[in-house]
Amino acid sequence: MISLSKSLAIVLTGAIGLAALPGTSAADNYPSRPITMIVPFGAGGGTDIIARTVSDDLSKALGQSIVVEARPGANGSIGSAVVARAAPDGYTLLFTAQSTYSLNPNLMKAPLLDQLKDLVPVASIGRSPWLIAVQAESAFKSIADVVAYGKANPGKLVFPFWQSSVLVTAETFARAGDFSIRKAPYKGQVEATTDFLGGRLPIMVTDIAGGRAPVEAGKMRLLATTTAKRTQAFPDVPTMREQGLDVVTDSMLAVFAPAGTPQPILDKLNAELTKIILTSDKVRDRLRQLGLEPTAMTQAEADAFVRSEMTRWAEMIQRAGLQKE
Amino acid sequence: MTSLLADLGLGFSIALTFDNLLLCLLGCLIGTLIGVLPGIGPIATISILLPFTFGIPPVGSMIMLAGIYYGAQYGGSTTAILVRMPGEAGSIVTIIDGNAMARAGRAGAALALAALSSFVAGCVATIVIGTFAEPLGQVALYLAPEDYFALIVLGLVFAIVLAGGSLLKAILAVLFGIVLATVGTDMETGAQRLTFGLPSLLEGLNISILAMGIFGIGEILHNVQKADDRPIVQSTIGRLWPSRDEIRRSAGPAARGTVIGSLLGVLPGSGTLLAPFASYVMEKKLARDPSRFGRGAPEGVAGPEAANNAASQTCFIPLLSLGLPPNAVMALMLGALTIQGIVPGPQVFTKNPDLFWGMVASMWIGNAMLLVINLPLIGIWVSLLKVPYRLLFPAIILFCCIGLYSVNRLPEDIYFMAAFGVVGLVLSKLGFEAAPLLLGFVLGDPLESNFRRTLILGDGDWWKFVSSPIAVALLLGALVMVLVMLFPKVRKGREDILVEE
Repeated sequence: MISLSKSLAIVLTGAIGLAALPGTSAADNYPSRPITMIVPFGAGGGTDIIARTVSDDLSKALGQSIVVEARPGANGSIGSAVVARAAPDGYTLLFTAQSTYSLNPNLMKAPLLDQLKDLVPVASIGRSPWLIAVQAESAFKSIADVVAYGKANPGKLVFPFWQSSVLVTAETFARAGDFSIRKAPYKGQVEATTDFLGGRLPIMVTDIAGGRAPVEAGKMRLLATTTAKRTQAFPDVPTMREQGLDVVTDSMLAVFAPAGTPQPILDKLNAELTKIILTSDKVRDRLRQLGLEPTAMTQAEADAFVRSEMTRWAEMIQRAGLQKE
Repeated sequence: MTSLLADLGLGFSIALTFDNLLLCLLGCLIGTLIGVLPGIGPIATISILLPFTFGIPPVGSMIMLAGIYYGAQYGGSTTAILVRMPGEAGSIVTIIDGNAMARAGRAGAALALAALSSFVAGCVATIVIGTFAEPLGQVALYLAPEDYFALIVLGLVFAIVLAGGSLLKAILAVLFGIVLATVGTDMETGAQRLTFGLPSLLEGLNISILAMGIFGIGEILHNVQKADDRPIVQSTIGRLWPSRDEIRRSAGPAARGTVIGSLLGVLPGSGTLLAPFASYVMEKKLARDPSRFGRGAPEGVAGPEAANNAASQTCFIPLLSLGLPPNAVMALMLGALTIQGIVPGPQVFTKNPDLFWGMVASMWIGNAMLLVINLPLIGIWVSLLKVPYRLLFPAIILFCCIGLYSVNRLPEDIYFMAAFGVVGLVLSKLGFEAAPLLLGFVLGDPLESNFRRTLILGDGDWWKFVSSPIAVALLLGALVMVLVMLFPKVRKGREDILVEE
């Protein structure tokens, strides 16, 4: 009961805080007001859930509330652009997946932001594998079945995608297996899963966070993971490499801030996030449950990582034969 | 039946604990408040309050968050009826006849009818969730993009039907709404459409900006022009409670609205928004004298309010039974559950029966609480109408600005609201109605995405649009309604048209 009345008190404070207006801020008393954490994908999706889990701990560590806001659209470009244009004061942050910072710049003719100039990495969170899934009653029992069907029926396999790394995973898979696919755009994973479970999509690429419920309910079967090694969450599911296809496309979740954010603020955020990822059992358990391998980097390492991944994905996208749109 | 009673018994034993009753009351109070305040809606409120619910047990946090959501639907009708301002998107339709009733001195009756029909709908929807959650969840999975496309086309025809004046103007208003819905970034290619290079338009226009601008601010500009300083209601306010005749007229519409709302609420995307419109159109078509609609028909308040509230509860079904949230608020609920370590899906019934039935029972309790909260408030709300307009309208504008600014903290939102206020004034001067425009806007996005998805999944085959019996039936329904509107004499030859098709 004590914890409840405490929670209620916090809820009320939060409700009053709704009207709180931005005040003056300086790096040394950061954070002095609530922080907005933007997730550029749909609410309730994998990235959103992980962002909320981590933000909960970060909020306690910083002693300020963090509002997680889902701003989906255009493969995550819209939410990223919102943060890129925000004031570089540490009160607007981006919690995103690899597709927005490594893939979109290589896939869009007119990107909404300059990834390397407009945003600066704060910290890494963890690696999330992609899984190739089919419906429980599907005739496909292995990746080889999918490849054989794809070769025999060109253009019959439709993949849903809602962010670029899903798209590149599907296209890289098709290239490696030498068959052709069609792609259907969705606003988020939930809409794609609805059509998939409804039997209108034969196959889909999913993350563990979004795929766990249908797999546990016996509605979805997993054929492969796209990690180099098997994932801890589903140790029975073989990798693509084990099944003879060189497809490695995992996604590193990371936090970004608008370029120009003072270094002390970046350092403080990196230190707190690193501590959470390395020491908080609650967060580590939840990350693992959602299919992420917790991974910490310093702010400089994260910066170097983002730059080198930009080149690696550019090459992968070129090999997959994708054109800028 | 006995198992349902046993399950409900379990639910009430959880929902009736002191903590959970308190959380339910808190949720309903916050919901009513944000429903009454224009601009700030359940999505913004729940995202902000979500982190604070982590310390509460999962059942309690869901009870509170659900209370905020359906409480907001109750509160939203209050501003719609009193000052023609839709507090929530779901109460747009209530404006038409609810506000007309208020102008005729029947504001108290309109508010009471809205609250009573919401209560009835909420109680029935609770039973629907308890009884049919699993089969109804399957319906949401079974419908294909072509079915949704056809449903939305039918919804757009509803938008034209519910307009009172010129047919051509109604069609133009709907089309203008659809054009406004295309503003923003293209879902597939990321191309910018009608953004005029403004970063604040990248995400498209927000429904509350549009609704508050066109209805609220537009209405204020219209009234201020008249340059008289009398209260909104010139006649005496009259009895606060609905007359026996008004209650008798409302019973049928509330029952039908409950059925429509319960069914449409389950559908992903626009179901909850479509429900009140569908109910209004149905009542207008069923009425012996349709001309009363738009002039304060109690049926036009009771039906949509019941539909709206039923839908806001049955939309929990796909979330709880499939783990697939049908709208943004439900997606936040999914996040809340996942963070608490609960995976919503078919297993929820067996793995977390306390959560499911506790929530179902709390919805019934919450509806009763909302009735108790709202009925005594009616007298206070109605007395607001006696305030001279020169005092009332700056207060409304102030609340609009605060509400809107608190959502995104973007000054541009306020500018857009002001701009759409001018648009609303011009449109009303030219004889265009705002409700069809807003429905066009709401349905524009799902119209486009389901249209594209149908073609993509069908590999460019146009016949895909008529490949399912549901889609064919819905499209034929839309066609018949258009023909009936175009040629009133065709009404008698309806069977012939169906045969020809």
